[in-house]
Amino acid sequence: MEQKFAQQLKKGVLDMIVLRLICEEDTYGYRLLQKLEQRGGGFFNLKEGTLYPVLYRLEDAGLIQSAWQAAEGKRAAPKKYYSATEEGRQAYRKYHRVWREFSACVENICAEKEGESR
Amino acid sequence: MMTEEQKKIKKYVTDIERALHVPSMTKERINHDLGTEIQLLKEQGLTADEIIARMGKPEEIAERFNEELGKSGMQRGQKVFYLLVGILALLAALLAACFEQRHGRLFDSAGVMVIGGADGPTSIFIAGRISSIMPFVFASLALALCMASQFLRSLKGRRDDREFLLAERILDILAAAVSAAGLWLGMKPFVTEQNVSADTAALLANGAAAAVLIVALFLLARTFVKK
Repeated sequence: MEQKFAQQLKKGVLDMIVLRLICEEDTYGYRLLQKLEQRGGGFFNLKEGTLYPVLYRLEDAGLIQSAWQAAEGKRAAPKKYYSATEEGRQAYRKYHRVWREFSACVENICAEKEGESR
Repeated sequence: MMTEEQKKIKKYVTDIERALHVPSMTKERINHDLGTEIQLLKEQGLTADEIIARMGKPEEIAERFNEELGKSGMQRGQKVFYLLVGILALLAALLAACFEQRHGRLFDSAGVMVIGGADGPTSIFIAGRISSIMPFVFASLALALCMASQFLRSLKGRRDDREFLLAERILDILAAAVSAAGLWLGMKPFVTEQNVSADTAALLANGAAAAVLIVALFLLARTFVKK
């Protein structure tokens, strides 16, 4: 039950979280998976099949873009990097503002309910 | 020359691709991203077996993509559609065949001989009728076979089942053969310059048969392109 609820919440904010990480630096999918695991407090341990569709959605919306970048070292193969577009950075700021308002609202409601139930 | 490690990775990536039910453009995207990931893990010194163990089974990876990219949600509707159209096509083929057999003309290519005493125009009319029904029977049968093959493909969680793959291939080959036979029968009156224009019903039936055959061939082509 708890897990299902956490899953639903995660689904709602995943686009914003991924966009945020890409706004921080140009990166590739696997690095994003690692970052989400390190910084996600156990909520964002994603698999490829969950992360990449988010990236495709963001890319199709013009919020991020992908490009092949040559890697350091002669033998290293080029890798597909994702970077945020200007539109993506603006979208992230909007998303974050909505998130702050939303979470404050939820907190308010829950605080009221807890006060009443006492 | 490909090393054993490279062969394992290639097979792994191919298995994922096979299990993906997404448009080819999306498949290419996934391929590039997973390719980058595998490359990174290789550069970190992981062996092919370690990479595969870390990333998970091909069908599991593909299933998540399929779920996220919305194909699985469509599967129930698709299954019903394939079943319904398949059954209808089969019924149409059977009814048409029964109707013709009852009149004793289904496989009688020398239909004109049957009514030996008939005059000229009647002979042509009968010959036209025979050639018009046969393509329809074949077209319906081809469509039913295509639908059966598509239905098998739409079933979830059976991708590594060899029997299913074999059944799909047999159905595809049968559908292709029946389609080809139907097309030939449909075209034959025009190629051999028989007077089919005398019978409007024959032309209509030929048109319907051609349309059904085009659908059947389209489905077959789509299946092979997907592979």
